[in-house]
Amino acid sequence: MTVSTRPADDSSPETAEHLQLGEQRERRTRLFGLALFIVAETMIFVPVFAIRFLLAGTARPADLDDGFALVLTAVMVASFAAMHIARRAARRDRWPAAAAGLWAAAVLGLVTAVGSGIGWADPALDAASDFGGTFYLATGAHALHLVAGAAFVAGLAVQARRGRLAGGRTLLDVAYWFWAFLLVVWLAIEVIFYLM
Amino acid sequence: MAVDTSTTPKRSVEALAGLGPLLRAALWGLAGFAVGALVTAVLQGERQFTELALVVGYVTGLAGWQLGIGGWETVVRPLYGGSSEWDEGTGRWRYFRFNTDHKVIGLQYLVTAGVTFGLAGLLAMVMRTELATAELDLLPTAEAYNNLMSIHGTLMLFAVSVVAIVGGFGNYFVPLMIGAEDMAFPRLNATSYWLIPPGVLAIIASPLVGGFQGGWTSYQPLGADNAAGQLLFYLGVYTLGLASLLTAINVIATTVFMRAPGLTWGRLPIFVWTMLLTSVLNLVWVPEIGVAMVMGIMERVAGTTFFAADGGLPLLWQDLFWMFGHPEVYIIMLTAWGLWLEILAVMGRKTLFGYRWVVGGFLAITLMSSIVWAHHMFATSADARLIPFMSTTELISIPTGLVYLSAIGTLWLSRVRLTTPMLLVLFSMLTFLLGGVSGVFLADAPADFYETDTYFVVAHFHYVIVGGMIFAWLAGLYYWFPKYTGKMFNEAFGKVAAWLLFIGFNATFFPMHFLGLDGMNRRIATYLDYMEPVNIAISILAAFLGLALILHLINLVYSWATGPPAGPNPWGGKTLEWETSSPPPRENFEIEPLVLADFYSYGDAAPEPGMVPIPGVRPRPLEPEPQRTSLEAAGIGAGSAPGNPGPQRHHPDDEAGDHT
Amino acid sequence: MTEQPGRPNARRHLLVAGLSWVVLTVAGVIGVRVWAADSFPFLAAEQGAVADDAILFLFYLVIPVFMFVLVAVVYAMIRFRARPDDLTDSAVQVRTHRGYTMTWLGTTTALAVLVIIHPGVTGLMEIWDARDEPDPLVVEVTAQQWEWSFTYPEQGVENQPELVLPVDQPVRFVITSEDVIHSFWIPAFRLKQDAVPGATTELHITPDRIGDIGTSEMLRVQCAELCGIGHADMAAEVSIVTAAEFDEWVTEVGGGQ
Ligand code: HEA
Ligand code: HEA
Ligand code: CUA
Ligand SMILES: [Cu+2]
Repeated sequence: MTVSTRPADDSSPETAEHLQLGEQRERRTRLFGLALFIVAETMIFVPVFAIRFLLAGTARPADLDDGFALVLTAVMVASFAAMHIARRAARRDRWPAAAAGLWAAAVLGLVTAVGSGIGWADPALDAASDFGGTFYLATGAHALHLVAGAAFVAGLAVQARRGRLAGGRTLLDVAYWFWAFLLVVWLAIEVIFYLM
Repeated sequence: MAVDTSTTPKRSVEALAGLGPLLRAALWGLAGFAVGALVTAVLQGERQFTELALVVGYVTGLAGWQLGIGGWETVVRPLYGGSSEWDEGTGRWRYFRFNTDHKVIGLQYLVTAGVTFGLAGLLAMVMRTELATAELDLLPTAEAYNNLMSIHGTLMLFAVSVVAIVGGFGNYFVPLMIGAEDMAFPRLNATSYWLIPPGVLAIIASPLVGGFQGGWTSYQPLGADNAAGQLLFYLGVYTLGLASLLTAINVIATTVFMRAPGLTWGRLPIFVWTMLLTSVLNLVWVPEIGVAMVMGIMERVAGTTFFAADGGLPLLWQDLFWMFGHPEVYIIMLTAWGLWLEILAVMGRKTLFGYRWVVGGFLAITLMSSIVWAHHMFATSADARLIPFMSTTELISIPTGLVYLSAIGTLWLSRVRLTTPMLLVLFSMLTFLLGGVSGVFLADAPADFYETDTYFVVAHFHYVIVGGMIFAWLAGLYYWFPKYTGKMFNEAFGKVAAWLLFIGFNATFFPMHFLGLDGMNRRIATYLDYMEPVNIAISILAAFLGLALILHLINLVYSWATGPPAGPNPWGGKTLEWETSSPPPRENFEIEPLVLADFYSYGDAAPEPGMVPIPGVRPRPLEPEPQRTSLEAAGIGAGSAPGNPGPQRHHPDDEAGDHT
Repeated sequence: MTEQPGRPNARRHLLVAGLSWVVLTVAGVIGVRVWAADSFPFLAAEQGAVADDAILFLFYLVIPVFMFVLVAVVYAMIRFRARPDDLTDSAVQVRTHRGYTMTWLGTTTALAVLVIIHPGVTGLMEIWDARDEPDPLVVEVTAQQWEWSFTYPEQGVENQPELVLPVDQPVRFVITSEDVIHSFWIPAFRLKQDAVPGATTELHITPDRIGDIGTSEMLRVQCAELCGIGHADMAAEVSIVTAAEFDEWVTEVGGGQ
């Protein structure tokens, strides 16, 4: 859009080269914006993890259901794999496959979110405990990100079905890296809350 | 719901159509609130309005508001493959809807911050009236006072001082100063502006559910005991923070990628530097305070005990709050310093002194501001923290001093054109200096044990914020007035009001230092009789301060309506915003500017910095833009040049843009 | 103001401004001394003097800095004025100036480091020294919305609403809160200490003047941390008495060894 706001009746002809430069700049800008966004997101989760150790040390309830968490981890990894497939397919202009991959990523992401919601009912957890409070905070924040992210990815899936994505593939890359970030955060949660 | 304003029916119809998106936003917002709150209450099986329902309702209401104002057409619908057609409006109506022009957004921020400032300032007047006497006589209860005081502080800090310059001037002038045609993510930009009104409303509406009594810092565990209004504090601050965060992403990306050719980092305008570093601070610390706000909400609705005396750490809140809270004070002040230096060089017609030193100083401030937070907790914290945090706090005076090094170096032997903005900058230098110096008194732990939580602190931060930032904001409002309105303001009137402001301000806040030392603690509605005489004086003088501000407002509004045309560059400034018409056209510059030298060199040998056409691309326009017509000039419809394309429509091609 | 400021006048400007700076600095220091001589509020504790001294010392340090900027700004405002529509550039154009910049950096750094060391660290040391005083009188201070209570465990005196202290006797306050955060402050003692629920904090003070609120309003306990509706009224009476009077008071309120 940085390019398209130029008046249409521009007297000098925009060469194809110019346009390409503009597109490249736009792509770089968007990816950079994403990088900034991820820095900000990191500053959400780092304090949350720090608070977990500050309040509860390294302790965790002994009877916490970590088998269930492993299942969720598997689903989250699968979701990211689907995203990966979608991105590869889009690169080769195989749009139906890309759309299917995106749908799978969104749905599996939602499953992870809902799953961690179900995990909240674990009797070993108590909101009023040092561990429980931060557990809810961390997993809740992650689940909210997944829900919002899934809505975004679903949108891309709808577009991909029609064979083209707005702004080229940049948005797909944005979704991909965002998903990678969410995967990393989930793995951190897995380690910090279930394994340590 | 795209409204067609191209025909000109009766005014009322036009107004209704122009306000369409705003009305829709209000409606969808209310509907979202009702649905969210009801569903939650039903799911909870409760008959009455629960706190959780309030939180969920606020979130769904906020979503409804954003969709209604234009988020549906510009973001959500195109994301799902639909059309992205959206009428950005024309004339004054552009300001009441989702509009992606950074200049429209800048003015939206400025006016919103101005209105909020007026409101929070009026609350201060009520507080001062109450404080004129030792007893409680104007307000019904101490609780009412606490609520007013809390709203005053919260609005002033979260919705005025971090929004007015950063959101207003930042949006309007960063693209202009770097020769870009807009921000990097225009839709993200509009989205972040439209978070401000709901954030402000949440805080203002808090008394409806009991208000919040904890001040702008809302220390725990008091926050968990307060009425439900406390939730609206958390939500409002969260919303306003989100707006700052999105703006920060936008500003950084814009500065990194959209600079005109030749605009190297070493030539970057000082104001843009300060915007960039402010944005870095926002980017890093706003998410952190967001976590604290969410924890505060969970403490009330999810039964957690993060800050409870048993099972939690009451002081954890203070650490989380001040880790953001201290960087915030530099978020407030950095851009104000940027403004000082811009104006000093232009008004003194003298080369900016020590550009590299002062940029280095800003960098050092940015880094150091993250490691001083515990100076707000001297009377609380463990002994082991006192010496380290006292040291970092005193040391931050050194890079702050570099601002004065540059300012005085520029000012000395310059040709001081004592216009209203220049006068305000000089006043700002003096009042901030006093506030900075009282900061040195506070940073000294032994002295702070005495001064903390008294009116000495109140004096300190009003000196730095009102004297520093608000004065600089006013200076900027005057300095750039010709640019964003195309008109000239009344100089004589402005100068008289500036003097009145300076005198009224000092008379109001200087005595507070002594009140503090004499034993008046802060956040009280009643006090011992012996403090009454000074308080009466302060309250009366505060009215003069308010009057001075209202005079400024009158000057600005009246000049906007009736001032003579200013032309593109009335001050002889060299930065790029002066190289285009006033107000600039939608795409800012007729041609992409090329920067050949830095913007702050004066003297015979100084090269012309900007706006040489790129050879062979497009010719430079010889004529300035045609002046605005008087009709447009009368309204707020600045910037709608007659020749400009009307409604800006998004091309379906650039849909589903800048959000994640 | 038609004078064109240029090199020839630069020295004179410096001289006049420098002189004004010296005069104003001296005047400022004298002014602070006069003010401090009789306007420092009523003080009744040894350690409180540390805060007063720190403030006074800081005044001496920052007055030259303040006056320097004040003179530069006001002098420029008066002497370097040009007509608003006059667009001639200043005859003097400097980008940097080694001497000025280095002097500035050196001075401010020296000042900042000095401030850390002198009223800062030394003051804290002095305040912390009070902890080593032998045989302090222990007073447990409990804050709750919105009242204070004082317990003297060694004297067997419990939950008193007013604070009575013997003069010249080191006191160790052990402070806690029952509900939210409060702050224990006796203005005449200067130093504050927050009362944090779930934790205890300490304050070591040696009162050195006899009196009560009738002597000075500064002699009162005042909550200094916002704690809700009753925050402003969360005060308690303080009396500093002779050792004999203190013992009398102890037996009166039912204590005893
Ligand atoms: C714009 C906002 C702003 C700015 C810029 C500052 C700047 C500074 N502040 Fe302030 N401060 C606040 C806003 C701000 N503050 C607010 C809102 C609060 C209260 C919050 C609350 O509790 O509600 C507060 C409270 C506050 C406290 C806590 C008080 C308490 O509650 O007990 C302290 C303590 O250290 C402090 C210190 C400082 C210092 C050392 C600086 C320094 O950055 C100042 C540096 C500037 C100078 C020193 C002058 C210029 C320098 C020179 C000319 C160079 C030479 C000088 C020397 C070497 C001395 N501030
Ligand atoms: C931006 C920051 C800001 C600003 C500008 C002000 C402005 C003022 N403040 Fe405030 N204040 C705070 C930030 C600010 N304050 C904070 C953070 C607190 C702490 C709260 C807490 O403890 O939690 C506080 C607390 C505070 C207290 C202490 C309360 C207490 O501890 O009990 C007092 C008491 O006198 C006070 C007074 C005033 C007064 C008289 C003004 C006057 O300057 C106001 C004058 C303004 C007007 C009368 C409005 C007129 C303006 C217009 C009509 C619009 C003009 C618009 C344009 C020119 C665009 N303020
Ligand atoms: Cu207790 Cu304020
Ligand atoms: Cu601070």
